[in-house]
Amino acid sequence: MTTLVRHRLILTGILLLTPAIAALHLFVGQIHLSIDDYWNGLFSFDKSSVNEIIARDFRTPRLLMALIAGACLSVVGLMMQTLFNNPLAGPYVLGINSGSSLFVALSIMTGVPFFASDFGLIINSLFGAFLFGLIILFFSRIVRTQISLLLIGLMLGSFISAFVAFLQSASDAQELKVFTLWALGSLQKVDFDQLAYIVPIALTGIASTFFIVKPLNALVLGEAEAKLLGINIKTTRLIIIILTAILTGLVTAFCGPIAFVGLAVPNLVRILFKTQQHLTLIIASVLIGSIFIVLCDILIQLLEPYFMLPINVLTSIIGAPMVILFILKRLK
Amino acid sequence: MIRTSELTIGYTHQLLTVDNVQLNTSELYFLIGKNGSGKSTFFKTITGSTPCLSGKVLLNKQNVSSIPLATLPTVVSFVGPHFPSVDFLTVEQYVGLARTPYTNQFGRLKDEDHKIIQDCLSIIDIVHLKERFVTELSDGEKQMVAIAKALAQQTDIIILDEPTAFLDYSNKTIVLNILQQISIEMNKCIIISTHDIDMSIELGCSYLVVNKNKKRIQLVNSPVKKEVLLALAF
Amino acid sequence: MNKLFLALLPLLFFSCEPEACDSCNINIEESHSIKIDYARNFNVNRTNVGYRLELIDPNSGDVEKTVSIPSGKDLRIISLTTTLNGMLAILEKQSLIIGITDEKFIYDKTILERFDNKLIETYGDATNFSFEKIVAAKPDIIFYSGFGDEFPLQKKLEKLGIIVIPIYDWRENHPLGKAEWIKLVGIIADEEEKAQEYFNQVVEKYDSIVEVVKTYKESPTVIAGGIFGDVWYAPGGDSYFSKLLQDAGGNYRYAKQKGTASLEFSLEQVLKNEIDTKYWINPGVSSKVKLNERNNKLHFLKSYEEKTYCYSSNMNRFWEQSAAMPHLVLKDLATIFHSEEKDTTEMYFYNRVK
Repeated sequence: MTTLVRHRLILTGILLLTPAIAALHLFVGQIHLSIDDYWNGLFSFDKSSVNEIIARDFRTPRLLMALIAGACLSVVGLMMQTLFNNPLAGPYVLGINSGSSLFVALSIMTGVPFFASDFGLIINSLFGAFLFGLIILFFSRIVRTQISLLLIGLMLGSFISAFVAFLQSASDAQELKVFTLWALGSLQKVDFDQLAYIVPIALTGIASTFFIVKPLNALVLGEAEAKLLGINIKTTRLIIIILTAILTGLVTAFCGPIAFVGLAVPNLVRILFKTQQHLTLIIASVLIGSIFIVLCDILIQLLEPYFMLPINVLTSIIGAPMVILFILKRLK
Repeated sequence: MIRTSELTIGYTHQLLTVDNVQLNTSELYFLIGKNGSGKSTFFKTITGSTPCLSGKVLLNKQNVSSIPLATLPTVVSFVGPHFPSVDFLTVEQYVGLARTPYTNQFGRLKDEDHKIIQDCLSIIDIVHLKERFVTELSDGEKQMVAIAKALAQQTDIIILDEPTAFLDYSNKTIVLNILQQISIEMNKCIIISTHDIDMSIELGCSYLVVNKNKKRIQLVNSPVKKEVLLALAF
Repeated sequence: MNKLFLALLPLLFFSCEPEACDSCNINIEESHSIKIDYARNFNVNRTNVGYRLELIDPNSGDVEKTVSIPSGKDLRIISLTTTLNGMLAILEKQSLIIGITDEKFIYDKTILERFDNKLIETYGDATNFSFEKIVAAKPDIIFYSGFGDEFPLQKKLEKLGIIVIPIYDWRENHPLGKAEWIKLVGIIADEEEKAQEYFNQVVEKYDSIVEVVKTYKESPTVIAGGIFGDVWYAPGGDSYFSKLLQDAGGNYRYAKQKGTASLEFSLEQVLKNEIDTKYWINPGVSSKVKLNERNNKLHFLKSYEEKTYCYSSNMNRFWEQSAAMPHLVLKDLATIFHSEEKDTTEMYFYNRVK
């Protein structure tokens, strides 16, 4: 019972911390906003007030997107780590993000206006993520060691970035700009109209993961053992890949590729909770993932007067050394 | 209880034929044979992981191939040769995973499940390991925990693939004795594959032997002489 | 980098002009140093064998490299910057061009004709070109837009006697300084006097427009630049474009910010400062659809609805000609800022973003 109490205590702590950090995010930007700016911006919007516009149409969507991106990518990372029995798995290292990038690149470079629209972007991003989820799944059936799968994921990533670079050199300046913009990554591009469907899709996707808590728990022992415990592995794999595609594809479509969050956060969560109970792990990944990206974005806003940092640059700067630490810790 | 009838096993090609045998509850059986002779395939076949090439396997009078995947683990439990090395998995959680076939959609353990886990830990006398992480266990402890997990699965049939392989002498004795005790006291049908013939023979159990010449698995009932086994299998 | 380069200079001279080796002792004729009035990023001196060109690193103000240009010789030029194409066109020396980046960025008809007649090849930009293709074309000079880095494989090219010149016109702090680079082009194209004359006319025209603008009472606040990613890039306070905005009678908020390099802002900041600003120059795109593609929140700026102008009547023409024709840019901007007094339909470079 003591561990359960400890988990609940930590979870409560994080649960309280999340809104506090989210609130901090709303007030750290270079332009000082008051609580009234938010209150009025959201409930009695005055179009002529700059502060209310910034509160309503800039900071609030940016915060929501940061929360969602962190939650989605972290949950995806957690599922992939469990599915592949590999603590260093994640949507980025296994090339799922790259799949999205490739299809977004292909669609933008073809120059068909539909593909460059929001809807076209999401569809392509989802499809790319799904396809590359299947590819990595296929390889996971063949290779025996965790490292091989990671290497294959990284190779897929390099291959795709090379291919995307090739597409870029062959495409027109205008299309190039659209893609470069997308690839830069940003939490600031979304508005409320887009959030109106991003939020429900993300929440549904995250909520769905609670229905595979049981298979995930059993998968910790490896696919063979999970199967002996009566888990339908094929169905579980498919559900995980579909959820991965939806959540990664959604975030990638709107924020560009964000690296290392999906890898680092679940590891952080496991170290913090010291458990393999996925109900706890999912809830904690959602919360800590959200906090992680919101904190990164707070840092970005604090650094704004000195230099402008894209979000995926910062997550890599913080995430990559963390991953090296995890590896060193495991080797000891 | 396990019964085989006209059983042949293998993946694509026939590896072994199996005599028509009946393995009873409250009994412990040893499976012996050369490395690569097909012991694991035999286990995979009777646990339903690999289909029979021909013939059938009956577990508690039910054809193994007709038992749904979700209920199969309530009939037979399997302890693999490799203990999973998973970070942050406590002994209690690990043994608790044996309750997977009995829990609801969300895998939530009820009070009843917790009690079963507790009981199984105390039967094996490893309650003190409850809070430990499985990665911190000694080889002997790992095997005990694995057995507790098999017990918590509450199946009549328990199959163990080389449970004594990585153990020292005293741990081998402890593990084999506990398994025999369980088979008798809890009415289980237990099959163990092993290379520790000297040690197993002291328990006076029956043997399943992979006959090296005839490519078949045959039952050798107790009492058994070591020379006979060696001649058949090696 | 620069020091290393200076150390290599003797070697460079030696290898550059083997045929002129009896005059390796180059004398600078100080009396003939060519007067540069506005440009800060290059100097020219006449020598006994031609000209000596000093290119100045705009960041440090130090001489980045020195090159000797022989006079009285038709040089083969690969021009990877559109500004230089435009200036060569003004001097009617398109015949010297043997290479460009891509024909789709070319406006000048003569250059296009020469391209069609296979007299000009395309070489891509500095980030992506074929070394061997360049060497095979046997150019004398390569112009590229300077970004503070050496041209790739510059040393190898120089060993082969190819002069590589970074063009820093875009880092000048006066539009006439940018235009004055035509003098450098004139020297290379052996049209020194023509370039001089052309430049004097431009100065005259430019100054006369400035005088007219001074008579206008209105001085509207303007913003310039646009957003790329999450960053709004605006011209630096000391940049030539900041000067243009002011000379055209605009009130540019960041005119006092030091430096010629672009300023970077977040969109929040721009919105806070510029929400009521009516004029927005050079968003980088020609239509509101494309503007929204860049960022869907630009519509909060009043200028988005009111007066957004871009050099979009013909983009290629702008990039080729605007450097050497600052008076026309100035005239357009003055027209935009004082539309009550001027007819905005008669602009040369600029168009309303719709």
